[in-house]
Amino acid sequence: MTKSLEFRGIGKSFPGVRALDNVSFRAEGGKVLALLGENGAGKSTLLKIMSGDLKADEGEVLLNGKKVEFPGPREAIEAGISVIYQERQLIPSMSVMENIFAGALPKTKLGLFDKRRLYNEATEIIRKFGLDIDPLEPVGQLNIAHQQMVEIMKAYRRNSDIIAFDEPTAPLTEKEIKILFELILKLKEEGKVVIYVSHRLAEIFQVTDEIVVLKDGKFVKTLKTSETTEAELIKAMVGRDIGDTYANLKRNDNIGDVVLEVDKLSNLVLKDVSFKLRRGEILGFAGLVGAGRTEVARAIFGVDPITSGEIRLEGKPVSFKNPGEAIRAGIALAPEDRKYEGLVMFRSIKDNVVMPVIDTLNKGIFVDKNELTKLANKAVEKYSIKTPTIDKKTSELSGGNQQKVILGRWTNEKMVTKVLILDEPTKGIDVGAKAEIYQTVCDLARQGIAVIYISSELTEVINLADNIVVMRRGRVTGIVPREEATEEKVLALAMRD
Amino acid sequence: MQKRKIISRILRNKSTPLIVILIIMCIITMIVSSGVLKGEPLSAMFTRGFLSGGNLIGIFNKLVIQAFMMCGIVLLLIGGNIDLSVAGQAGLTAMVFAWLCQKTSLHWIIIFLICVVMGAILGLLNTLLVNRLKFPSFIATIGMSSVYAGLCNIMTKGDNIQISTAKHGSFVTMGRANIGGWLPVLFLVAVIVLIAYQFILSRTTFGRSLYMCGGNSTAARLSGLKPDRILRFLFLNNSILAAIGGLLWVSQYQLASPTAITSSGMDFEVISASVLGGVAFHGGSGSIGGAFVALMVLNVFENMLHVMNVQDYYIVFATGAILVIALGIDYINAERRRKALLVASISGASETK
Amino acid sequence: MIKEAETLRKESFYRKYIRPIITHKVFSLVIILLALVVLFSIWSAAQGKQFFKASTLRNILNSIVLTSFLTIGAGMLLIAGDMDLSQAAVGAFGGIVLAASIVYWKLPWFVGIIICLLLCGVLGAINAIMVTRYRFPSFIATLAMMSMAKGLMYIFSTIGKGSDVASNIAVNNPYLNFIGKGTIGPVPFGIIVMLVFFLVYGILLTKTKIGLKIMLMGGNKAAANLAGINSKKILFALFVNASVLAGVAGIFSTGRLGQGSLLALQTNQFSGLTAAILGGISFGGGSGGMGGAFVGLLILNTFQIGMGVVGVNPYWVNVFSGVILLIALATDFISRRRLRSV
Repeated sequence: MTKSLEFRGIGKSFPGVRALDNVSFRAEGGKVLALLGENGAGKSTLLKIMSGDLKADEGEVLLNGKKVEFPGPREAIEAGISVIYQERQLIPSMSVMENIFAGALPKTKLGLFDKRRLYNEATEIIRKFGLDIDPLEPVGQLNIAHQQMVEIMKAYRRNSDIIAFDEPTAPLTEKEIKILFELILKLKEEGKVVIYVSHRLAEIFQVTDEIVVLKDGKFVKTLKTSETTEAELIKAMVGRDIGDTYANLKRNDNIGDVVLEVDKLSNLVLKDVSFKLRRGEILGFAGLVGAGRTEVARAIFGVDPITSGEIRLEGKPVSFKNPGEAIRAGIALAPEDRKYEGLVMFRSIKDNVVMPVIDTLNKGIFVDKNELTKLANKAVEKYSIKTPTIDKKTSELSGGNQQKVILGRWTNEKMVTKVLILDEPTKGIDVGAKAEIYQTVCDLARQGIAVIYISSELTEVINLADNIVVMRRGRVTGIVPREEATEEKVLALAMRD
Repeated sequence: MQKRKIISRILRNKSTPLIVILIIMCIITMIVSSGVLKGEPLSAMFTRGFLSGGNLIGIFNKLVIQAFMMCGIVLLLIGGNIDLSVAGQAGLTAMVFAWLCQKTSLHWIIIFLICVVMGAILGLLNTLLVNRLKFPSFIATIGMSSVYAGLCNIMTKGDNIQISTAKHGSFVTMGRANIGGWLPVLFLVAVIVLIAYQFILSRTTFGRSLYMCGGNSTAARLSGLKPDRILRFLFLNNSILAAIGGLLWVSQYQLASPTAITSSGMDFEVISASVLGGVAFHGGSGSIGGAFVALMVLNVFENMLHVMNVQDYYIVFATGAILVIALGIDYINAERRRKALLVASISGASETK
Repeated sequence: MIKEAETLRKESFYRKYIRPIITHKVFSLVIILLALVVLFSIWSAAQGKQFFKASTLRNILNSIVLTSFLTIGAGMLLIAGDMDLSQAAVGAFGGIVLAASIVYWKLPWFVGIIICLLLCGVLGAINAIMVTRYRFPSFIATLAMMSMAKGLMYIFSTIGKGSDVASNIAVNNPYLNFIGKGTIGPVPFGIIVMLVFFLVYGILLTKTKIGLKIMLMGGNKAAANLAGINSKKILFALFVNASVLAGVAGIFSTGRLGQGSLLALQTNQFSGLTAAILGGISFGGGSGGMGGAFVGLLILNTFQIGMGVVGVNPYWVNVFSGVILLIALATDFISRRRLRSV
């Protein structure tokens, strides 16, 4: 009988968010099913339910036709389901072989830990994969691509009937991607059910048979890979022609002189990073996860130390020892993780907006509550932040509004922002709010602010940026101007070794 | 070829510097305390001062109690948690035992078992606080330590409880029994226990899964392990061992005191020794062997100062300083590991290729 | 758009004045305090004793003076997301230094006070360096400092004495006596100082820029740093603050006991911390205030003194404190977890 995994009417809610709503579809053995959707469409939540990490609020999961309920990940694994997550679930201090066999370490006849057999079996798997990894090495010391491969080998070892991959190729080089695709082909031939979650449309066309599209937690449609086109997919994901969003943007045509120059910047992870940023320019930073883009932002902002190279702001060399200095010089950073690095969730919108400029407020050592209120109100108005009052805790806002609070913070009246660095600003934000943020970024550029726009969504970077800096493993592999930017070209630079 | 391999492995072992320090301290103390420098014959080194029967018994006796505590604490630390109420649990169990010995006519073995069960209950209490209520372990156990200390005092309003030799002679003999006047029998028992636990850590799959849960409990859980269940076992194990430690103390001193164990700082020393001996404070690595070597170093160090007539307060000062050093080394190691992880994840540096 | 201006005018008297007071965290604490007072008054009356009288009230207030300085220092650190377990030891050290400087080193009393506060500050700076520069977990670093401060205390009690034996130092200095036992009118000097400190720190926390920064730091240190708040500098100041305040407690202790005591402040560390947490200062930082801490202190000590009046074994207070701490933490954690999961 063909193996299958079916979702029926799956619903899941979190405080304030309906992550999945009546999602139903079926994945069959011997075929690769792609799960496609924007950030926040519900793909990760679905995978977590599949792996036993979360329980659905409504609906059921059917394994080979029978309803199953997993109290935890162990039961799901025992039932034959393996999920390879985007964030690697490895134990850095333990060896490669122990990670591959985590949860199923081989025992001797006496019930003791059989190190020898572990070593042999692990070596065998690594050899089958055609990789050059030492099974005894602590996994934390491998490079990110190899760590991902260890994660994949872990799932392979389990010989599960149902395997799901969540954005597996993000940290991989071409060589490993080839190995991965060969593996997927083999799994198909063995009749296993393979679910493939990815943003990379090129890959989806290469390796999948069916495509399920999710949007805002709801099932949109199933398509046969061989019978659909990229445009059709994008339309299904986004709900409208993507061309519109970007075509309607009021861009900035007036790019000024160089305001920030980074010259051969190097530190622990960066090597000889150089680029120029002009007033009113939107400089995109593209690359795979772990390419080093956030590290560039942190080095400029004074968070990480610099070992060599120079940063020049308006012609003068600068070296910031902490973010406070960078802020006073006119540089602002909206970090990648809004919740844990950007906002103070317990505090009000009011408090979050004024954080960088507390010292510049009136009234000496005291806080001028009126001035505070005025600044916050202005920010709320400027960005149309949907809230009844500025005293509302930021934890109670939607993702899009939270991001607007951060933008409000860096553009409030008391700040003189010359350079604004945005790190994944539209992560986890719905499409409508995204469009608003795109326009806001363009507006800021029109006001003469220089914007560094870091994003892993290629479409975004290509359509928004005036120039794109592509990074790979801590180096700049190329700078592409807008006219020449295509997905293939940028991707090629992002994966070049 | 074999010989060279063995030598290089010894040199690379993390505990080697500690063993060297231990040997040096022993020699220094032997020389200074025996009065050899003041004209006593050389043979005095082996009979007076450091190596005198009385002194050695004292050190070993303390090590017995601490060894039991260590088997519990090291496992807990590796699993990513901690218990700061160990001394309190030991003290309370000791008091309960002595009280039962005095007030009932049960055989001491039965009372012993009752107290071990009591230890298990305390362990379950810890599990409740940390697993169910999700308290960070050190906060929960700090709170409980105060409770236990208070309960000890309430039991007898500050008095000690004696164990009568008439009723429980064999119990007292167990604690006092020694070989050659310097090696307590209980210490041999403790060593066996230590070896057993080290064996569990390094040679069983359960031990390996402990390291995994401590290293990254989310990853462990998603890989099919059950960190919650393992943690429950660890707390149970720890409290039972602490209870036994307390009972053995009573056996050695023939009485139970409401303040002696709880204010002795013994558990504090065990924790410091564990960190000094290579157990990472945040879990995921370390071994009993390394921790015990460090514990011996710590104890000999204190004894050395004591025998050299250094004032008590200097010793207190030094103990704190040692903890700082231990943590400093741990911190440096953790930083090095963190940096290596960062570099590896970005620049793909894995030089062995 | 904000409709606050309009709706404000329409708000009833109840909503504007009564409701915020009732829902305020401190209010529920005050209720608990009053409940305790009522409980002990009735209990003691049943035994023929009298709990509810002026001298008891003064006893309670007096008993919290020493702990209050520790609580303020601990509370400020807790709000910023850190802690200091060495306070009591540092305070005792300070008390000894003060006594030694007057008795052994023959210095004037105010110089003694300055040296005491200075040295305590230095110890606080060491704490700060261990935590901010070397990134020791504060819990461990301050635990180590506690050991070291105790050791230093013994050592200083022998400097200039002529013998190597550590002991208490008896002091009889009129100014010191006044600090410890004197009164202004009917009110003991210590209580006045304590209330002033609570007031000052309370205003600092809620109305000044530094206070706002501290609360933001406590709420999310990473975000505060990335928004330009120099948390390292602020933490440094807070650790020194905690130790200097401990020194103040040591001064009062010496004045009160008439001697620099090696056993000073031993029981106050734990209650200081408990009171702060009881008062609603969240353990992870970011919320709470001096008002709550003050009431928390009152609750703890009312309980202790009340138990003494009705003749219950005083050691029950230890048990009680431990349990209270856990309950306070439990409620704190549960409410924070609900917020965090958003």
